Order: sequence, then C-alpha cells, then structure tokens
Amino acid sequence: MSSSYTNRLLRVNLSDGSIKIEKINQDWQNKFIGGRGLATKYLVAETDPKIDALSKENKLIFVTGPLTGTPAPTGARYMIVTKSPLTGAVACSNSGGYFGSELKFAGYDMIIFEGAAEKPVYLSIYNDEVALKDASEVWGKGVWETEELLKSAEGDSEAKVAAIGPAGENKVLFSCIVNEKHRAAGRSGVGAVMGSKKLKAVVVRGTKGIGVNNPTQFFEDINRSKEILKDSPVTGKALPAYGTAVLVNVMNEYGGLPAYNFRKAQFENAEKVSGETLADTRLVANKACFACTIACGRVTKLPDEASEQYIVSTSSRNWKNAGEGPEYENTWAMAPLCGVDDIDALIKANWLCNDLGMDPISYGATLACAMELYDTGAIDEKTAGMNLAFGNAEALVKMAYATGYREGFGDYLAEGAYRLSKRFGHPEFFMGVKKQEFPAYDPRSVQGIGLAYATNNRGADHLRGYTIASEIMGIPEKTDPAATEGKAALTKLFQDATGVVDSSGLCVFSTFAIGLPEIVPMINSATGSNYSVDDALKIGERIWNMEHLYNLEAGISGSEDTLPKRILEGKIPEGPTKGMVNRLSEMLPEYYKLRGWDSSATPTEAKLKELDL
Amino acid sequence: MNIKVKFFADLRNRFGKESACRLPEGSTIADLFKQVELPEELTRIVLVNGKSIEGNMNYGLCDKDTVSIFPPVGGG
Amino acid sequence: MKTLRVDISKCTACRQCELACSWHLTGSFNPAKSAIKAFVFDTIARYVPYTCFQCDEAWCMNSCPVSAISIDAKTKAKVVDKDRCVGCRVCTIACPFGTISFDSATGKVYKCDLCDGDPSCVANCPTGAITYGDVDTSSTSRMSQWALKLTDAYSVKEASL
Repeated sequence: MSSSYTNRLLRVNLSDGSIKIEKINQDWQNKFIGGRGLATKYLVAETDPKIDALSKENKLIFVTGPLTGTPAPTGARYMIVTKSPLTGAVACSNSGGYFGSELKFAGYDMIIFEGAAEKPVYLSIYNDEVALKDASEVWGKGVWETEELLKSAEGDSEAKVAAIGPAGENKVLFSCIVNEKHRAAGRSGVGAVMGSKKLKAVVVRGTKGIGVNNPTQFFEDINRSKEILKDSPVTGKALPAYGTAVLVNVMNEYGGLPAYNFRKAQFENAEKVSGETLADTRLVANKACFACTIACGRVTKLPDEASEQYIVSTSSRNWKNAGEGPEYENTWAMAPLCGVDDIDALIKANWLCNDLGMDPISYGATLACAMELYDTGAIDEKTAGMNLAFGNAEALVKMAYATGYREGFGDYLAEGAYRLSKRFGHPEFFMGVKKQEFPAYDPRSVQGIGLAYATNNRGADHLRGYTIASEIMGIPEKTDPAATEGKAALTKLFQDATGVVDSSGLCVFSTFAIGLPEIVPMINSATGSNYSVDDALKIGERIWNMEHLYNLEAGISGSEDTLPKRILEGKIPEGPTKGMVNRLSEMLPEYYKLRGWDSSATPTEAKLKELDL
Repeated sequence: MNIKVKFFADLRNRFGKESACRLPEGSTIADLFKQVELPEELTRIVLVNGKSIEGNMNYGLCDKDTVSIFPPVGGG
Repeated sequence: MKTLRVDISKCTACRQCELACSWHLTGSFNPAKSAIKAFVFDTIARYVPYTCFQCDEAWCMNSCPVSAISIDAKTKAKVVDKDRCVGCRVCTIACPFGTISFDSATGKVYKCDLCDGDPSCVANCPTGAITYGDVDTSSTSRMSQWALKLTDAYSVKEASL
C-alpha cells in the first residue's frame, strides 16, 4: 500500500565513512508520527544525554514529517534534532524552503549523522546514489557561495542544499543550518554541531516522488484545508502582505516589545523598522516554502547607497541582489532590542546572519547584552573593538561579521548572552532561560508566554508553545495577556498540540487557520494511520515528556524553569504596561500539576505509564 | 472628546496612518467605528491606550484617548 | 481555443503546480516529472512558472519519426501518445524551449497536455499566477489595467477647460 512515508532512513557515520539505509522503526513511528517526535525518540534511544554536544558522540538528525513533500498546504517542513551546545538540552530546530521535500523525493524520511569526519566533507544524495565527498573547496565559504559551488560541482542546478557557513564551522554556539540560502533551522546552535562534525553541507536531489495511502480522501482533506487557509484573514491576507513583521507595531502598541535589552517594553522608533515600513519601502516580493499557500516570506532589496554601507573586506557577497527577510523575530532582536532604528542596517545584518549561518535572534540578543555591558561600563571601547552603544547600527553589522568569524570581541559574542554576561561580571544582564536568549515578546506584559519561555524544552523559545496566538491575536480564542488565570492549561495545550504539528511536516503558521481536526485527517489519509485528535494530543504530550526526561537526565533540573530577576521583579518603567512583572509563581505550580509532574518537575510514575514512556 | 486613532497594516490603505476624531462625551468604540466608517469585521485587535478592549465594543472612551486598531494578524 | 497564461508577479514559488501536474502525469507527487516548473531567480526576486504553451510551429510533433505527438481535437494541445513513443528523444532536441522532457523511468517523453481542458496547475495555484483562458481575448484584461492607469494621468474634461 502506498504511503507518504518513505520508511527509510540514511545512517551516515562520518568517522568511518559508512553509509547505510535502514527501515524506520515502525513502532516508534506509530507512537511519535514523524518529524520532531520520531527524531527525538531516535536521539533518546541512541545517545547519552550527558555527552558534550560538540563531541563525536552527539548525533545530528535531519527529519521530515509524513506531510512533507505532499500538496498538504505548508507541507515543506523538516527538523534538525540533536543535543544543543548552547543549552545542553535537546534541540529541535525547524526549517522550511525546499530541502525537506527534496529529501522525501529522493526516498528518505530521515538522515542520522554519527561521529565526526577528519576533514571537511559534504553528503551528496541523488536518489539511491549517496556519497560523502570532499568539501575542502567550500570550507570557509559563506552559505550562499557554498550552495552555488556545490550545485555546480554536482552538475545539477535543481539540487537542494542545506549548509553551514563560517559561523557553524567556527562553532558559534548559536550558529545554524541554512537551506535555499535564506531558510534556517535557526535556534539552539545546531550549526555548531554540524561544524564539529566537519560536515559542511547536504546536497540532495530526488526524482522518485511519493504517494499517499488514500488519494481520494487525501485530496478532499487537503482541499478543505486549502479553502480555510485562503478564507482566513490571517493566512490569506495579513501574512502574505506583511509577513510576521506586522507584529512590530502590534507588540509596541501593547507595551510588549522589549527594547534596550529588556530595560523597556516599547521602542520609540518602532515604526521605522515595522512590517508596514518594510512592505512600503524595501519589499520586492513575497515568497512561499514548498507547497505553502500562505507565502509569508519577505524578499527585500537594499537601495544602492545602503548596499555600500558597513562592508567588511572579507565579503564576497553582492549586496545589490535581492535577499530574504527580515521577519518579526529577527527585526526585533537586531533593532528594538539593540535600540537600532536603521532598517537597512537591519536588512544587511539579517542577510549576514543567513550567509554566515547564525541565529539572528540569539545574535541580536547577545549584542544587546553586550550593549548593556558597554552602557554600564563593564566593557569599554578597547575591549569591544568599537563603540557598542545602544542604537549603533554600524556595530550591528560589523559585529555580525566579527561573531561569525569569531574575531576580536566577536569571539566572546559567539558564546551567547549567558556566557558573555557571566564573563564580564553581570549575569543579571542575560535575558533568557536555560542559557538560550528570549524571543520577541516581553513576558512581563504577556503572562502566558512567560510560562512558556520558562518551561519550553529547548530553553527560552516562542515556537514550541506559542500562547501569543491566544493572548494577543485571539486565535483560537482571546485570553487576557495580563492575567495568569488559565495560563497553565493554555500553555500545556499549545505545547502538546504543537508537538503534533512539528511531527507532521506542516508549518505552525497553518494553525492560524486550521487545527488538529483538519491536520490529523490529512496525516491519516496520507499514511493509512488512524489517529483521532485525542490520540494526537496524547502523542504531543508524550513527545513533551520525552524531551523533558532527556533534559532532566542531561542535568537540567526544574529549578531552571524560571525567569531572570529583571522579568520577575524589574517592573516595566513606562508605557501602557508600566509596573508589570511576570507572575510565574502564580502559574508554574498549576502547570506542573496539569502535566502530572511533582514539584521538582519530575513526571510521576503514573504519568509515564499513561504515556507509555 | 478628542480621540487619536492609529491604523495599522492594510487598514492604512483605506484610513491612512492616523486620524483625529471628535466624539461626544460617553462615546464607545462602537460609536468611533461608526464615525470613521470602519466595519468591525475588518479589525481584530483594538487597544485603548495600549489596553485591549477584549472584544467589548461598548468600551467607553475618554478625552485624549489613543485608539490603536489592527486587522487580524499572525506571526511567530 | 484556450491557452495557459502566466502572471509572474503573482507567483510565490510554492510549486503546488508541480505537485498537481506530476500527479496528473504519473500518479505520484514528483516535481522532477512535472511538465510545469516554477523557476526561482532569487537574486532578482522573480519566480516564473514555465511550461509548453502549445506553439503553432510544433517542432516536437513535426520532428517525431513515429507520429507519436498529435493535436488534441478539443483543447488543441500537442499530446504525446505513450504507446507510440519509442523514446528516441529527437523531440526534446527539436523543441527550442525545452518544454518536452524524457523520463528515464518510463522510457517515454512527457509534456503539458492541458489535462484534457481542465489544467491541474491552474486549479491548484493559490495565487492565480497561472490561468487558462480564451486565447483570442485573454490579453484584454491585462491591457485594461494599463488603460485604467491613463485615467490617472490626466482628465480630458479638465484639460479642455
């Protein structure tokens, strides 16, 4: 019988160069669906949570979901699953573009990389022809140039490439893996793991195609979802027109846009870097990932004068070309958080992050931390190599180069805000959880996202439990951002449901319009599975607990489910949310209770049994 | 009463960035929408001085209030 | 007679057209075997769906040594008869546009056949970048958009005052 699973995984041992094809464990596939859930199970089963993330004991997993590569709307997604060198916790980092679907067309659901190569290599996949090849010609090059060179080397302009840039090679702790030049598995330093294995890129081309189990039912299911996405004002209108950058003004008006390293929750120049300004002045197109009917991607161009600014001589890039981004998160981290209001510097810094291969959220947040250190005199111009005052647009761009190449002060920035703040004697300037920097919503103004930040398994993160959808946007229903009541249940629900979406191969943005009642039938008709929505939610809960157990064993205890002092006690100084803090203590105990964990965040025996873990 | 109204995203195409509105004492959000000819279904987030009206169209306005209006939005 | 038309300003490179077409031609989701392809020219931010537009010259049909390509009576598309095709690939060399291709899995060539008058790519394009309309009148709507712009330029009534 046909299925949209290929049921095959590639196991590549970089130490001995062996490449094997294995059948996907069917029992695990039933219990975890695919994507994030399935790959995490493999990681848990095959590695010790206590290993060093940059050692050859770590494994790096590329994984697709059952709907990746199908016409299910937003069926583009793949995940990178590994142990994070930034947090020491489990890392699952999601990306779109075309790479994931191409891997399915070549005949694989997953690739597991083990060990480490002696010299730089890349993996070339063309259907059944899989080989490790010498990457010395591209080692040291940016992601964009690497992609062009490898496509040329393989003689295939339609090949899809996922690569690291200099940041990953230099093991910048928040470096990432980039495909199609601008789409990234961004957070938690997965690029550094790839760099530690001397794996430069994966190049894939597939011509086998995939089928589905029940085509008639499948087309009915996906067409219904496509209609809903089209009719929704969010997925059908707002996201294609403004991208996620529309949120800059939303959060600013609310008093939830952290600025100046969370000293404030509003930015006086938010309009200059808003989604509206981007659309009016720099946007040249919007773009979609594979099979996506939303098309939220921003494609931008710099005006000629701006393309000449702040260039460093190591650059081989053409700044006059169109590029992608910025979206909301990267805009926020590199502009308001750093006090910068220069949209062109922002665009350029974002492109640098894409080409060097590093997470713009963590980069911006680390720079903002450095700016606060500079502002308080903990570091001076001599140490930093340049003026690092809040608002310095030149610093935003120049420090991106320095960080990616680990040059000068950039070597310290490359360690992330947690280690940077400690190094210079001010750990209280680290704005994040479990050593990962916060994303773009102030948890003092929005209570539920604060609980999500504190408890998300990969550290401070917005995507694995995006309560903002409810608290700010009213999706599926509006809750009061300033209230703590009901937030424990809300957060758990979002976290569990997201686990399902992350395992399916669809993009979380589809959930602004459709939900599990539409997604689960698509998985069933594509694969022949028979999950109910309740079954799926249970799987989401199982995935959550499995990741959490891994973290506990890795040495990350419940005491780290907390927020920085500035968030718990440092009241917002002005604006509509003046005086607010995050009231985590009103939410966390109830959250543990709902999760079936004791007060030390350990799942009870009963809960583990219930979840079959 | 003098009310400042700020429009965002595609609402700007129709209403511009900002408007100054004069309304009688005791007016509500519903009255404001009627005056500027803004259908409620085009909006999703409405803030008065940064506080959400939580869908309450009878939210009472005061002199010198700032109202921020957004259409349905999504993000990440 | 109807023709496929492409408005590249609307294409987002989602490649749903490739999925729809490959399903129609092969019964699997396989962009590599789609007759229509959405090309991404990233540095200039242009995305272009391209396929055979059923030219009158029909080099493919005229070069075929076994008359495997013929004109469909209803749609006027140039259609490949897979039973007659011998996989010589001369048509793929003759077509100057590259829009007829060889599939090594089947040993036959494939091209756009207009899906018997209901093109799948059109039905599945989320933005309307690909449309299917009357060949004699389908330029008119594009012309009218530009005609409208002239009305901004000046008003005849005002000019004559």
